[in-house]
Amino acid sequence: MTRARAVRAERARRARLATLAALIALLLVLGFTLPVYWVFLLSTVAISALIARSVGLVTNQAGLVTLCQMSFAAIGGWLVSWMALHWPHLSFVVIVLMGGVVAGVAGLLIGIATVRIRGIEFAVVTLGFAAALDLVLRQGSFPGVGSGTAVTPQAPFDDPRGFFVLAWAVLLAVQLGLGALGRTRHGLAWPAVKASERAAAALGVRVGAAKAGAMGAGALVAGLGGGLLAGQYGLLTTQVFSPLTSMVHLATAVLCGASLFSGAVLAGVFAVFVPELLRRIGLPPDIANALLAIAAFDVLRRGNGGLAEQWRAKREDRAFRGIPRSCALLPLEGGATTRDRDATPCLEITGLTVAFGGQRALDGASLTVRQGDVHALIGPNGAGKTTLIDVVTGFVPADAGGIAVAGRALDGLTVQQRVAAGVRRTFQQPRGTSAMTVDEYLRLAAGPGHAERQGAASRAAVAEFFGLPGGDVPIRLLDVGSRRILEIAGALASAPTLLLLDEPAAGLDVAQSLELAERVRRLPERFGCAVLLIEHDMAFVRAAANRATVLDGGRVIAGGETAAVLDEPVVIAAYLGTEIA
Amino acid sequence: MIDGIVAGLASGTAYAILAVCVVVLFRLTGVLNFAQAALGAFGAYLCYALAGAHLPLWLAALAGLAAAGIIAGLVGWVLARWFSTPTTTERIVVSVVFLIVLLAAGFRLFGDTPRVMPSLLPEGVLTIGGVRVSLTTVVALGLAVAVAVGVSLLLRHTHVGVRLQAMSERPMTVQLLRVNTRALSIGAWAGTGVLSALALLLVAPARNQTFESMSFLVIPALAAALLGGFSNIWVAAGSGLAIGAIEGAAARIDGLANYRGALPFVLIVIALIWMRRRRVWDDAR
Repeated sequence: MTRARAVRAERARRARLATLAALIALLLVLGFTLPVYWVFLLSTVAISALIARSVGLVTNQAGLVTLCQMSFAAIGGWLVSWMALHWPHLSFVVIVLMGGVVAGVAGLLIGIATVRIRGIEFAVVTLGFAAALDLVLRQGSFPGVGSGTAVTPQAPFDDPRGFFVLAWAVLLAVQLGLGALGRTRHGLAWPAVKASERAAAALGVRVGAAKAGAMGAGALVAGLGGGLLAGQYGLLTTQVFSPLTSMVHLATAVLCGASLFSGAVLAGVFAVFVPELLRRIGLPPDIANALLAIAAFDVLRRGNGGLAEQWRAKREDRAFRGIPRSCALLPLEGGATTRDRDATPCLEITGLTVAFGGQRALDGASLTVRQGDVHALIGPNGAGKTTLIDVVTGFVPADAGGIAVAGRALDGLTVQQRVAAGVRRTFQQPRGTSAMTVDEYLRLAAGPGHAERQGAASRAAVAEFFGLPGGDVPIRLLDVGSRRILEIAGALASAPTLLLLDEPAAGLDVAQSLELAERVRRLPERFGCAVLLIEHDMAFVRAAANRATVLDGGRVIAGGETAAVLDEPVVIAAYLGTEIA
Repeated sequence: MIDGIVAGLASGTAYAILAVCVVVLFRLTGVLNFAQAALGAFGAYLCYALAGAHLPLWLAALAGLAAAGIIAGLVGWVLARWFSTPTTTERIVVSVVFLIVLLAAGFRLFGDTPRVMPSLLPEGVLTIGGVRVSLTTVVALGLAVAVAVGVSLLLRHTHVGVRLQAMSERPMTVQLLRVNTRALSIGAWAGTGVLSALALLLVAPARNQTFESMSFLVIPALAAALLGGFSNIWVAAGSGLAIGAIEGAAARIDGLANYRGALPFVLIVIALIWMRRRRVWDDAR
């Protein structure tokens, strides 16, 4: 870690602690000086913030648009009401936690069932769940409502000020928990899955588990909110949890940027104080929903994220002004490698055939990449190059043929298992997992297989090799070329056996491209992995690859030493043909 | 049981028409219109408010249809102006925003008490094979079939329609064709707005609903559209009718009657999970 970065990190940590301390101090002052009515409202702010945070987690962080978070709150509230009715001596805090856990399990189950339902279909399914649960609740209403037995938290939480402390303590605990979770591989997987499921899976992320986990965690947070609501109101009505309220919470969370704690608190403030303000100036409070929705529309129209997310982006822009944001590919020392290349086969492809409909993308293609090789795969557009990488990495099933890596047959293995076997790839279109920092991405990409210390060492090694910007720099500040290089660096941090690069030099200028080619050439020696390289830039191929295979129409038409292959007339005809002539 | 199914078909026609509208708008603009029923409900409620103010019913109905069309057209204009190539989140949240705003406006204008709705059509009952069918149900069924047929013909056999087909498969082309599509998408919004209002005007007298509950009739319609993958008009229309029929049948079964609104949805989610079981990856590459 550089000195400047250490200073930045220390400054950021202090700022966070100071903000937290100031918030707690402010809350304590407000909670114990304001009239009870305002304290009650502030408790509602904390509860609304919990719901907003759960929307922020599921929708803003994991990319699943949910219209049923209030239904999870209803499950939490129902359980708390039921427990309070049947076990009145049980601690309120305990039953609130139980409510959260039960709602979380419900969310996890829904997440598992709907793991292959995406986008708008997922949103409609969640809306349907909200409507169905609403209907069921209307039939039975909440426990205790019929007999008028209200939920009464034990002292000190029966007092509005005591309850206020509890509500905010739950919110802060949730935020600390989510913050810690966000730094683990599981939490980092959420933004990766949101950006692209394939790209996330290629990093070894368990996509289904990440999505279901996000639903579960979001439902747990919402369930805690619902449980607190039961304690605050005593008796719950179904109206509070209608599908419409879930929609309003979604709009408010989008407006405020509830993937962040500040955004969630802001959403809570808006949800409580906008209607309150309207009431006080003599306007009907029910138009608050419309106002919040219109504001959400404006935020969407601008497309820069919610309010809190915009503020954070501005803060980051300021903090990283003048700090390098692109990869510094400086000339490497040392010349051509003198060591003999390891000639044992790493990737062996035999008779690979893949057909999409009637079209054969690959037609009996065979090639071998040796352990010490950088092996270029070239050919015109549509020759089947990317399809070959897709098949080797398990994204597209082969119709015939065999693939083995380091002597192990890959047939029938999932993407996960292939990643675990040391097969890594990059993509033609890099999916900006822009919600992470450089270091977070490297940690996610490095995979779980390493001890923390060893992992840090390998991350530092790739960061140095590629001249990556500081680890705390947000990826969204990086230029496109640097993001591609970061993707390669991430794959290498996992110490792969075989690395498949799909057009790594696209988006780089000529000088950078040649420096990258020099680095790719050294990968087998430096990181011990064989490389299969797709690239259209022939200068890059000549500089980086020692062997090459030419594909045309899904068939291998030439193969061998790079220089020899590129000079073959059949290759020139197929690949460069008209341009030369 | 048969009576129940026939009674359910009346609501089913509304679901079918709304579902077709949702599918058409999704294919054209990429926005999933959660406010489809609310737009129609706005027209229907305006009609009843005007009729209550002693305007002739036919004039009030025309005014209601026109209002729904104009509001929907305005929404279409706003969307075409700012969201010509929406992201998934935008596709959903933007129309949720419209639903919330319409509900707030409807609550202000029409309150939240259910109304007794006058029927547009004369009270008439046909007996077909021993089953009594109200005239309204027959007309509404005819309208649902006509809408599905009309929209399919429009999409398949006209220049505009063929272009829409292409766009539904290649969303990026929307951007390249934007100049032509803006007027088209405003027209589609207005047209579906009028149709939704007509559908709700026809079935509302049987249901006595509040503005809000009428607006949430969009949920069975969305479920029907979901089964059609938001692209197949015939599956969407057929599913809408089927959902109505299942609700109607369940209404006659003890123990299911109170949950009949949730039943079709459960079936559709199960069907969807089955249909999507092989979709291992999302579309992002």
